[in-house]
Amino acid sequence: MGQSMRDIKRRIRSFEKTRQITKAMKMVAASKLRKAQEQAESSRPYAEKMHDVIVNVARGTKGYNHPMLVSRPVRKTGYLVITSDRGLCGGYNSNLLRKLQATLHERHQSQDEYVIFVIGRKGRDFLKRRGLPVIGEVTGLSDSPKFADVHEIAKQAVQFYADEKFDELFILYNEFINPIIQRPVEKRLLPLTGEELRDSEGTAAGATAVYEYEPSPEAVLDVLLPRYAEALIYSALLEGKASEFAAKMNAMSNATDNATELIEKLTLEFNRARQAAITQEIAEIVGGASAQG
Amino acid sequence: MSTMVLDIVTPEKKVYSEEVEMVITKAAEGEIGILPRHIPLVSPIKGKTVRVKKDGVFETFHVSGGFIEVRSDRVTILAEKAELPGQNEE
Repeated sequence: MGQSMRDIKRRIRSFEKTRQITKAMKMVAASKLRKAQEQAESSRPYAEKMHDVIVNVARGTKGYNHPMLVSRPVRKTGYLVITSDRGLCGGYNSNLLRKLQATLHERHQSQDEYVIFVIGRKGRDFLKRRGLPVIGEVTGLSDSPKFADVHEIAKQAVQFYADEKFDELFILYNEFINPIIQRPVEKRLLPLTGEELRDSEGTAAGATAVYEYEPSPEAVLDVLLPRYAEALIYSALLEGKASEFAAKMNAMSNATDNATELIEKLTLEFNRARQAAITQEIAEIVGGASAQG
Repeated sequence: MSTMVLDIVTPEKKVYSEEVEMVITKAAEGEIGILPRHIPLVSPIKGKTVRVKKDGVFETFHVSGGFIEVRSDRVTILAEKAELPGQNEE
């Protein structure tokens, strides 16, 4: 009996340590989440402003069809997948990668039909292990990534589209809905759809102005559109980061709760065992005394 | 003297937002100086510098991958990177 009491005690202590760690991780994730949300917030004006200008230019240049605005027959598809570097964040990566696999499976017959860009170590390892065609990767991003960190891969992805190495580009990341819910989503980034630009016409209408363009509307569009696509990739990354920390916070919060529950259960068990030991001891003493009686 | 609002925005954040009197930079077709009530204009920025006159003093900003959008009372510069004078981040 004494043996099992010591066992239980040891297990309680080990759960307590685990709980301490998960609790700390939860708190760290919560503060990083706040930072990531702020960052996502502050990146918004850039994309919005650019969007305004593009809508304006696109409206002023009817008849000019920039390749990034026009759908063409799809022979090859590019995917950009945003995952995390580190684990311990619940279903964050696995949900996204499952979605990716399902999409690939559904849409393509062979591996020649698509290529994948990947951000994050988890995604990279997963895809490499399965021998999927990864043509670009970024890992080891900081928790608050700079634009320069993803500029290279974003530029590459956009460039590949421009060079017609693939004919459409999808981006997969975890959409941040609120700190409790993150949802893996797939969005078509290129070609930039007409609807996307048209949608906001109502909101942008107040800002309408007839611009002069230097050197020409077409040239402005040529420079602006790739930038816009890059900015979109960057904001998806920031949103992915926010989701990552939210997922991590939830996972760690659950782990902490589970540990607490286990500790309670074990404490009860420990007390019972102690009680049983005492009862037995008394019974032995009483038994001994009455035998001598 | 009349002023206009100058915003400098990078993908990371809004770097600068102040009332200024004049903005000078090199647009696609050469050097331009922008005063308040300029005609609406959009152009890529060639070169790397933007000079800004605020309260009668000129300051020089460094930008890369920049764009300028001008409206009568508002000038917006969209840049991949922007450095303010007396601030050396990267």
